[in-house]
Amino acid sequence: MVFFYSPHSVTASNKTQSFLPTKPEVEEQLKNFYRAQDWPSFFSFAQFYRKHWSEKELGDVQLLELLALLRHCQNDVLQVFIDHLRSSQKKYHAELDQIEALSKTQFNGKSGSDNSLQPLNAHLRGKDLWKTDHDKVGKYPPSSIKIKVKNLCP
Amino acid sequence: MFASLLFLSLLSAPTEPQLDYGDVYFQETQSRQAPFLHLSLGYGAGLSNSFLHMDSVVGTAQMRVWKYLSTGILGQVIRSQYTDAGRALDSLSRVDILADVPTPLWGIFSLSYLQLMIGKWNVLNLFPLEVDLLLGGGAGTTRKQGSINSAARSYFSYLWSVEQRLRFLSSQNSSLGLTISVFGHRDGVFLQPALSYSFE
Repeated sequence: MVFFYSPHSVTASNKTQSFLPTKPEVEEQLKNFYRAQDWPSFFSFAQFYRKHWSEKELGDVQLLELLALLRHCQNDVLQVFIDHLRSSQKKYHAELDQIEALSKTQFNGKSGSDNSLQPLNAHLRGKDLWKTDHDKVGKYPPSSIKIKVKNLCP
Repeated sequence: MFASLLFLSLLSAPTEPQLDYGDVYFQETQSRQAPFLHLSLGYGAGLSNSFLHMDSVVGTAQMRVWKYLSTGILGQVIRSQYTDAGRALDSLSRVDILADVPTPLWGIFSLSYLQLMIGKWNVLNLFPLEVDLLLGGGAGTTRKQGSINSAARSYFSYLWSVEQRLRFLSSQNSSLGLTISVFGHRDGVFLQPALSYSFE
Protein backbone atom coordinates (compact mmCIF):
# COMPACT_ATOMS: atom_id res chain seq x y z
CA MET A 1 0.00 0.00 0.00
CA VAL A 2 1.45 3.34 -1.04
CA PHE A 3 0.00 6.67 0.06
CA PHE A 4 0.32 9.81 -1.96
CA TYR A 5 -0.32 13.37 -0.98
CA SER A 6 -0.77 14.84 -4.40
CA PRO A 7 -4.35 15.26 -5.52
CA HIS A 8 -3.08 14.28 -8.96
CA SER A 9 -2.38 10.84 -7.63
CA VAL A 10 -4.73 8.26 -6.26
CA THR A 11 -5.19 8.26 -2.53
CA ALA A 12 -4.45 4.61 -1.98
CA SER A 13 -3.23 2.19 -4.55
CA ASN A 14 -4.64 -1.29 -4.34
CA LYS A 15 -5.25 -3.32 -7.45
CA THR A 16 -8.36 -4.91 -6.06
CA GLN A 17 -10.22 -1.79 -4.94
CA SER A 18 -11.78 1.06 -6.78
CA PHE A 19 -9.75 4.22 -7.20
CA LEU A 20 -12.77 6.48 -7.01
CA PRO A 21 -12.60 8.88 -4.08
CA THR A 22 -15.23 9.11 -1.38
CA LYS A 23 -17.66 12.01 -1.10
CA PRO A 24 -15.84 13.76 1.80
CA GLU A 25 -12.57 13.47 -0.12
CA VAL A 26 -14.10 15.07 -3.19
CA GLU A 27 -15.66 17.84 -1.14
CA GLU A 28 -12.33 18.57 0.51
CA GLN A 29 -10.51 18.55 -2.81
CA LEU A 30 -13.10 20.91 -4.29
CA LYS A 31 -12.32 23.44 -1.57
CA ASN A 32 -8.57 22.95 -1.98
CA PHE A 33 -8.60 23.35 -5.75
CA TYR A 34 -10.90 26.36 -5.58
CA ARG A 35 -8.61 27.98 -3.02
CA ALA A 36 -5.55 27.19 -5.14
CA GLN A 37 -7.41 28.32 -8.28
CA ASP A 38 -6.38 25.09 -9.97
CA TRP A 39 -9.29 25.32 -12.36
CA PRO A 40 -8.73 22.25 -14.58
CA SER A 41 -8.64 20.04 -11.49
CA PHE A 42 -11.47 21.92 -9.81
CA PHE A 43 -13.87 21.55 -12.74
CA SER A 44 -13.00 17.88 -13.00
CA PHE A 45 -13.84 17.27 -9.36
CA ALA A 46 -16.93 19.49 -9.58
CA GLN A 47 -18.40 17.59 -12.52
CA PHE A 48 -17.46 14.26 -10.95
CA TYR A 49 -19.20 15.35 -7.74
CA ARG A 50 -22.39 16.18 -9.57
CA LYS A 51 -22.42 13.09 -11.72
CA HIS A 52 -21.38 10.52 -9.19
CA TRP A 53 -23.91 11.34 -6.49
CA SER A 54 -27.57 12.22 -6.67
CA GLU A 55 -28.75 15.79 -6.15
CA LYS A 56 -30.09 14.99 -2.70
CA GLU A 57 -26.66 13.87 -1.56
CA LEU A 58 -24.86 17.01 -2.71
CA GLY A 59 -23.78 19.51 -0.08
CA ASP A 60 -23.36 23.27 -0.10
CA VAL A 61 -19.96 22.85 -1.70
CA GLN A 62 -21.74 22.38 -5.04
CA LEU A 63 -22.18 26.14 -5.12
CA LEU A 64 -18.43 26.48 -5.62
CA GLU A 65 -18.92 25.25 -9.15
CA LEU A 66 -21.24 28.16 -9.84
CA LEU A 67 -18.77 30.57 -8.30
CA ALA A 68 -15.98 29.11 -10.45
CA LEU A 69 -18.12 29.53 -13.57
CA LEU A 70 -18.88 33.07 -12.43
CA ARG A 71 -15.15 33.74 -12.18
CA HIS A 72 -14.74 32.50 -15.74
CA CYS A 73 -17.66 34.68 -16.93
CA GLN A 74 -19.32 31.56 -18.37
CA ASN A 75 -22.70 33.26 -18.07
CA ASP A 76 -24.64 30.99 -20.42
CA VAL A 77 -23.62 27.81 -18.61
CA LEU A 78 -24.07 29.55 -15.29
CA GLN A 79 -27.63 30.54 -16.13
CA VAL A 80 -28.52 26.92 -16.95
CA PHE A 81 -27.16 25.88 -13.57
CA ILE A 82 -29.01 28.63 -11.73
CA ASP A 83 -32.30 27.79 -13.39
CA HIS A 84 -31.86 24.11 -12.67
CA LEU A 85 -30.96 24.62 -9.02
CA ARG A 86 -33.84 27.04 -8.54
CA SER A 87 -36.27 24.42 -9.69
CA SER A 88 -34.70 21.46 -7.91
CA GLN A 89 -33.31 22.85 -4.64
CA LYS A 90 -35.26 25.61 -2.98
CA LYS A 91 -32.82 26.31 -0.17
CA TYR A 92 -30.28 28.20 -2.30
CA HIS A 93 -32.57 30.98 -3.50
CA ALA A 94 -30.68 33.84 -1.85
CA GLU A 95 -27.27 32.57 -2.98
CA LEU A 96 -28.49 31.98 -6.52
CA ASP A 97 -29.94 35.49 -6.69
CA GLN A 98 -26.60 36.91 -5.61
CA ILE A 99 -24.63 34.82 -8.10
CA GLU A 100 -27.00 35.78 -10.89
CA ALA A 101 -26.65 39.45 -10.05
CA LEU A 102 -22.86 39.17 -9.92
CA SER A 103 -22.81 37.45 -13.30
CA LYS A 104 -24.32 40.56 -14.82
CA THR A 105 -21.82 42.98 -13.31
CA GLN A 106 -18.16 43.73 -13.81
CA PHE A 107 -15.90 44.26 -10.82
CA ASN A 108 -12.25 44.00 -9.94
CA GLY A 109 -11.17 40.52 -8.99
CA LYS A 110 -14.09 38.83 -10.69
CA SER A 111 -11.89 36.95 -13.11
CA GLY A 112 -10.07 33.98 -11.62
CA SER A 113 -6.36 33.59 -12.16
CA ASP A 114 -5.44 32.27 -15.55
CA ASN A 115 -4.50 28.72 -14.62
CA SER A 116 -6.06 27.31 -17.71
CA LEU A 117 -4.95 24.00 -19.08
CA GLN A 118 -2.29 24.16 -21.77
CA PRO A 119 -1.64 20.70 -23.18
CA LEU A 120 1.76 21.59 -24.64
CA ASN A 121 3.02 23.07 -21.39
CA ALA A 122 1.63 20.11 -19.49
CA HIS A 123 3.51 17.76 -21.78
CA LEU A 124 6.73 19.66 -21.23
CA ARG A 125 6.17 19.18 -17.52
CA GLY A 126 5.93 15.44 -18.07
CA LYS A 127 2.15 15.14 -17.94
CA ASP A 128 0.55 13.71 -21.02
CA LEU A 129 -3.00 14.84 -21.73
CA TRP A 130 -5.36 12.95 -24.01
CA LYS A 131 -8.48 14.69 -25.16
CA THR A 132 -11.56 12.66 -24.36
CA ASP A 133 -15.31 13.12 -23.98
CA HIS A 134 -17.65 13.90 -21.11
CA ASP A 135 -18.64 10.26 -20.70
CA LYS A 136 -15.41 9.68 -18.81
CA VAL A 137 -16.37 12.20 -16.15
CA GLY A 138 -17.92 10.38 -13.22
CA LYS A 139 -16.48 7.01 -14.21
CA TYR A 140 -12.77 7.66 -13.92
CA PRO A 141 -10.96 9.09 -10.89
CA PRO A 142 -11.34 12.87 -11.09
CA SER A 143 -7.63 13.21 -10.41
CA SER A 144 -7.02 11.66 -13.85
CA ILE A 145 -9.36 14.07 -15.61
CA LYS A 146 -8.69 17.74 -16.32
CA ILE A 147 -11.33 20.06 -17.72
CA LYS A 148 -10.36 23.16 -19.58
CA VAL A 149 -12.88 25.96 -19.32
CA LYS A 150 -12.27 29.14 -21.25
CA ASN A 151 -12.14 32.31 -19.22
CA LEU A 152 -14.50 34.71 -20.99
CA CYS A 153 -13.95 37.64 -18.67
CA PRO A 154 -12.77 40.75 -20.49
CA MET B 1 -57.04 8.33 -13.77
CA PHE B 2 -53.89 7.05 -12.10
CA ALA B 3 -52.09 6.89 -15.42
CA SER B 4 -52.97 10.49 -16.27
CA LEU B 5 -51.79 11.67 -12.85
CA LEU B 6 -48.51 9.82 -13.34
CA PHE B 7 -48.13 11.41 -16.77
CA LEU B 8 -48.75 14.88 -15.36
CA SER B 9 -46.28 14.36 -12.53
CA LEU B 10 -43.63 13.25 -15.02
CA LEU B 11 -44.26 16.37 -17.08
CA SER B 12 -43.92 18.64 -14.08
CA ALA B 13 -40.76 16.98 -12.73
CA PRO B 14 -37.61 19.05 -13.31
CA THR B 15 -35.60 17.60 -16.18
CA GLU B 16 -31.87 17.25 -15.98
CA PRO B 17 -30.39 19.94 -18.20
CA GLN B 18 -27.19 19.52 -20.17
CA LEU B 19 -24.62 20.44 -17.56
CA ASP B 20 -21.49 19.36 -19.36
CA TYR B 21 -19.08 22.06 -20.33
CA GLY B 22 -15.40 22.56 -21.08
CA ASP B 23 -12.88 20.40 -22.87
CA VAL B 24 -12.15 17.15 -21.11
CA TYR B 25 -8.65 15.69 -20.98
CA PHE B 26 -7.43 12.46 -19.53
CA GLN B 27 -4.14 12.95 -17.74
CA GLU B 28 -1.68 10.13 -17.82
CA THR B 29 -0.28 9.83 -14.35
CA GLN B 30 3.44 10.16 -14.19
CA SER B 31 3.86 11.07 -10.57
CA ARG B 32 6.91 8.86 -10.15
CA GLN B 33 9.50 10.90 -11.98
CA ALA B 34 12.29 13.31 -11.35
CA PRO B 35 11.51 17.03 -11.30
CA PHE B 36 11.95 18.87 -14.56
CA LEU B 37 14.52 21.21 -13.02
CA HIS B 38 16.22 20.86 -9.66
CA LEU B 39 18.55 23.46 -8.16
CA SER B 40 20.41 23.20 -4.89
CA LEU B 41 22.96 25.19 -2.96
CA GLY B 42 24.64 23.94 0.16
CA TYR B 43 27.62 23.49 2.38
CA GLY B 44 29.97 20.57 1.86
CA ALA B 45 32.16 19.36 4.70
CA GLY B 46 35.16 17.20 3.94
CA LEU B 47 35.08 13.80 5.62
CA SER B 48 38.02 11.88 4.37
CA ASN B 49 41.14 14.03 4.58
CA SER B 50 43.12 13.73 7.81
CA PHE B 51 45.41 16.64 7.02
CA LEU B 52 42.92 19.25 5.81
CA HIS B 53 39.72 20.81 7.06
CA MET B 54 37.81 21.27 3.86
CA ASP B 55 34.82 23.58 3.86
CA SER B 56 33.07 24.12 0.58
CA VAL B 57 30.11 25.68 -1.14
CA VAL B 58 28.39 23.30 -3.50
CA GLY B 59 25.82 24.11 -6.15
CA THR B 60 24.02 21.74 -8.46
CA ALA B 61 21.58 22.08 -11.34
CA GLN B 62 19.76 19.03 -12.65
CA MET B 63 17.37 18.66 -15.54
CA ARG B 64 15.18 15.64 -16.23
CA VAL B 65 16.07 13.81 -19.43
CA TRP B 66 13.83 10.81 -18.90
CA LYS B 67 11.35 9.82 -16.19
CA TYR B 68 13.89 8.76 -13.60
CA LEU B 69 17.08 10.09 -15.11
CA SER B 70 18.37 13.61 -14.76
CA THR B 71 21.60 15.21 -15.73
CA GLY B 72 23.36 18.45 -14.96
CA ILE B 73 26.37 19.98 -13.32
CA LEU B 74 27.90 20.21 -9.86
CA GLY B 75 30.25 22.99 -8.90
CA GLN B 76 32.29 23.19 -5.73
CA VAL B 77 34.50 25.90 -4.25
CA ILE B 78 36.70 24.59 -1.46
CA ARG B 79 38.46 26.38 1.38
CA SER B 80 41.15 24.22 2.92
CA GLN B 81 42.98 24.60 6.22
CA TYR B 82 45.49 22.31 7.83
CA THR B 83 44.35 20.14 10.69
CA ASP B 84 46.74 19.51 13.60
CA ALA B 85 48.03 16.49 11.72
CA GLY B 86 48.41 18.61 8.58
CA ARG B 87 50.33 21.27 10.47
CA ALA B 88 52.63 18.64 11.97
CA LEU B 89 53.21 17.16 8.56
CA ASP B 90 53.84 20.58 7.05
CA SER B 91 56.36 21.40 9.78
CA LEU B 92 58.47 18.47 8.60
CA SER B 93 59.40 20.56 5.58
CA ARG B 94 61.55 22.69 7.89
CA VAL B 95 63.81 19.73 8.43
CA ASP B 96 63.96 19.03 4.71
CA ILE B 97 61.46 16.21 4.67
CA LEU B 98 59.14 16.83 1.77
CA ALA B 99 55.54 16.49 2.89
CA ASP B 100 53.15 17.30 0.07
CA VAL B 101 49.54 17.86 1.11
CA PRO B 102 47.55 18.75 -2.01
CA THR B 103 45.13 21.60 -1.37
CA PRO B 104 41.98 21.48 -3.49
CA LEU B 105 40.57 24.79 -4.65
CA TRP B 106 37.54 24.08 -6.77
CA GLY B 107 35.97 21.51 -9.00
CA ILE B 108 33.32 21.34 -11.66
CA PHE B 109 31.69 18.13 -12.81
CA SER B 110 28.98 16.71 -14.97
CA LEU B 111 26.58 14.72 -12.83
CA SER B 112 23.78 12.37 -13.80
CA TYR B 113 21.31 10.95 -11.32
CA LEU B 114 19.20 7.84 -11.37
CA GLN B 115 16.15 8.20 -9.15
CA LEU B 116 15.58 4.95 -7.31
CA MET B 117 12.56 5.71 -5.15
CA ILE B 118 9.89 8.31 -4.60
CA GLY B 119 7.56 8.37 -1.66
CA LYS B 120 4.93 10.97 -0.91
CA TRP B 121 3.20 11.33 2.40
CA ASN B 122 0.75 13.73 3.94
CA VAL B 123 2.40 14.44 7.28
CA LEU B 124 -0.24 14.93 9.98
CA ASN B 125 -2.39 16.58 7.37
CA LEU B 126 -0.10 19.61 7.68
CA PHE B 127 2.34 19.42 4.80
CA PRO B 128 3.29 17.07 1.99
CA LEU B 129 6.61 15.31 2.23
CA GLU B 130 8.23 13.81 -0.81
CA VAL B 131 11.38 11.76 -0.40
CA ASP B 132 13.65 10.83 -3.27
CA LEU B 133 16.74 8.69 -3.18
CA LEU B 134 19.21 9.23 -6.00
CA LEU B 135 22.42 7.63 -7.13
CA GLY B 136 24.68 9.72 -9.32
CA GLY B 137 27.92 9.68 -11.14
CA GLY B 138 29.91 11.86 -13.44
CA ALA B 139 33.28 13.28 -14.32
CA GLY B 140 34.93 16.64 -14.37
CA THR B 141 37.94 18.59 -13.37
CA THR B 142 39.38 19.73 -10.05
CA ARG B 143 41.88 22.44 -9.46
CA LYS B 144 44.39 22.04 -6.66
CA GLN B 145 47.75 23.16 -5.42
CA GLY B 146 50.39 20.48 -4.93
CA SER B 147 51.86 22.30 -1.94
CA ILE B 148 51.90 25.78 -0.52
CA ASN B 149 53.39 28.35 -2.93
CA SER B 150 53.27 25.87 -5.82
CA ALA B 151 51.27 26.59 -8.92
CA ALA B 152 47.71 25.28 -9.13
CA ARG B 153 47.00 22.55 -11.63
CA SER B 154 43.86 20.98 -12.98
CA TYR B 155 43.19 17.27 -12.78
CA PHE B 156 40.60 15.01 -14.30
CA SER B 157 38.39 13.44 -11.68
CA TYR B 158 35.50 11.07 -11.35
CA LEU B 159 32.51 11.97 -9.21
CA TRP B 160 30.01 9.82 -7.34
CA SER B 161 27.07 10.95 -5.29
CA VAL B 162 24.31 9.51 -3.15
CA GLU B 163 21.58 12.00 -2.41
CA GLN B 164 18.40 12.03 -0.40
CA ARG B 165 15.91 14.76 -1.19
CA LEU B 166 13.20 15.90 1.14
CA ARG B 167 10.68 18.19 -0.49
CA PHE B 168 8.04 19.59 1.78
CA LEU B 169 6.88 23.04 0.66
CA SER B 170 4.98 22.45 -2.55
CA SER B 171 2.96 24.64 -4.79
CA GLN B 172 1.36 23.44 -7.96
CA ASN B 173 4.52 23.33 -10.05
CA SER B 174 7.42 23.85 -7.70
CA SER B 175 8.68 22.77 -4.34
CA LEU B 176 11.24 23.76 -1.76
CA GLY B 177 13.16 21.25 0.25
CA LEU B 178 16.32 19.96 1.83
CA THR B 179 18.83 17.58 0.37
CA ILE B 180 21.50 15.61 2.12
CA SER B 181 24.13 14.04 -0.03
CA VAL B 182 27.43 12.28 0.28
CA PHE B 183 29.66 12.71 -2.72
CA GLY B 184 33.26 12.03 -3.53
CA HIS B 185 35.94 12.80 -6.08
CA ARG B 186 39.72 12.61 -6.19
CA ASP B 187 40.11 15.26 -3.52
CA GLY B 188 37.93 13.67 -0.90
CA VAL B 189 34.52 12.68 0.29
CA PHE B 190 32.05 15.36 1.33
CA LEU B 191 28.84 15.50 3.31
CA GLN B 192 26.53 18.15 1.95
CA PRO B 193 23.34 19.51 3.45
CA ALA B 194 21.65 21.88 1.00
CA LEU B 195 18.55 23.86 0.24
CA SER B 196 16.86 22.86 -2.96
CA TYR B 197 14.21 24.17 -5.28
CA SER B 198 12.46 22.04 -7.86
CA PHE B 199 10.22 22.83 -10.79
CA GLU B 200 7.89 20.11 -11.98
